[in-house]
Amino acid sequence: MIKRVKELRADVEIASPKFREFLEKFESEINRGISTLCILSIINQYEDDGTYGYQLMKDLEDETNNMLIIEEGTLYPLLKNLERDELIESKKQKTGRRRKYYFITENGKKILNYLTGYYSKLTKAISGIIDINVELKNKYIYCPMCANKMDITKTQYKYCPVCGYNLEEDLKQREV
Amino acid sequence: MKKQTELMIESYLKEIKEKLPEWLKDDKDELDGVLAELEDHIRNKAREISETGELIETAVGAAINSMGNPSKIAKEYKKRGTPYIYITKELWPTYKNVLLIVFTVLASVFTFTFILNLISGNFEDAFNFVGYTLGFFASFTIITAIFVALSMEGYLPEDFISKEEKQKKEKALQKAKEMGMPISPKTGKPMKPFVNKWEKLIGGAIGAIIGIILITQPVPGFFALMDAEFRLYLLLIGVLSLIDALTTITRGILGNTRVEIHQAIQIFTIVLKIVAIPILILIFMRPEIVPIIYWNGSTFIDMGIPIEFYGSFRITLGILTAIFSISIAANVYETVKLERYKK
Repeated sequence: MIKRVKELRADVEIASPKFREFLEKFESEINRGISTLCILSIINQYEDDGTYGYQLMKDLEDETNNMLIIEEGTLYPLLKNLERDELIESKKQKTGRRRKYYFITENGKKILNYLTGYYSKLTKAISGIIDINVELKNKYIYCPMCANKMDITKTQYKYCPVCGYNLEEDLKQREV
Repeated sequence: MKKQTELMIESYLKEIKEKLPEWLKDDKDELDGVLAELEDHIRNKAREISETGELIETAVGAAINSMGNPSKIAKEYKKRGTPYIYITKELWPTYKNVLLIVFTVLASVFTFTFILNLISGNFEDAFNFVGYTLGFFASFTIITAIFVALSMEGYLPEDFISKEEKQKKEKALQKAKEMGMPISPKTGKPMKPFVNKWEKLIGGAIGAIIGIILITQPVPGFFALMDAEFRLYLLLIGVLSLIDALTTITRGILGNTRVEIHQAIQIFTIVLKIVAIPILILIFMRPEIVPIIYWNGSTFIDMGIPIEFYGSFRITLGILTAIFSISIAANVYETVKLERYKK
């Protein structure tokens, strides 16, 4: 398991106050955006069944090998904000425990496709600079204009549903 | 007596509850939901830690620890709205409106006081602008401080609206979406319908009936009494009325969709009205052909307009023509206004 900076021993070199502050800020900035992306992705995986906060947290930890850990208490305000932005919706369990189940909305799906597309293309673009290999899956096409991610094995696209870019040429090239 | 584990959970949730933002505390259902969700999480986590599925003190303690500091959780709930010069973007328009209203009231009061002082000869007080300036400055400071505090607490404009009002607005929004009405990008609210479907359909039907009557002139004993020239004008007005009625019915059928077609119809209506004006002018010039028909008990009799009333007739028709011309301006305005409804 990779420890985050704030969890490192206080006497390690990187943990000097100056470094620590800088790195914590860096981690926090990156994690904030990625957390939203991952939470939406996990809720999307549950589709019609929906998922609840604790399950979501467990999935997040499992699927990221405990690399991305959200402070548990802060997950719920984040979910509330996503709900307010109409990216997800919630339903309370009618019987037994009053557990709240979260579902992704149609808008949420669109936003998720855009966010994952943007993040994938961005990671691919900077892969050369930070010297890593990024392989984008072939079943998706990424809009050259806005980077929206589209699964071409499920739907036939002619135009990007986000920006309206004509994808015909790009799809033809891919066939070749 | 309650178990220690229950007391630990209760005490932790109580601490969170105290620190939660006021907008959340105001909504009891919402508050209960938030606390129930956090409680469910703690219980799940504690059961997992204890491995036996039982809630034991050490496990509950660890679960509470991993939830984090109550102040931090409460602070996260306050992170609503987009930061913008100390007041959130969402509250900014309300802030400006409140300032505008208060400043307008102050300006009115100050102007009144100023005039009163001038009239009563109290020039020293009238021209003492320090008082006025202080008044503006104090209200600006108080209002700004209130809005900064509201922003920090995470308040949004919708928190000041009652649940019933919210539901009403949501219903209106849903209805507007179903009707295909545009939603204002600025306010997120549905825009007013630009067409009352039934009003157009009924109005159009009435117009069509009038148009057909004027074209066919179906009661010979009545229309035959009229001057042939006047009947021709009636026929022309009937044709224009019928065309206008058909376009009105089309607008009713379209409802609040296809804004471009509504605009085209508006322009067409303007043309129809312009065409109708010369007919009105021709009638204006020839009052002697205008009939005044009455029923004497056995037949219709046309007595025409008495010469001494020609002036009154012309004034009346002139006013009608002027109103008719002004209605053309209203059509132009409607056409331009429809631009806002285009998606």
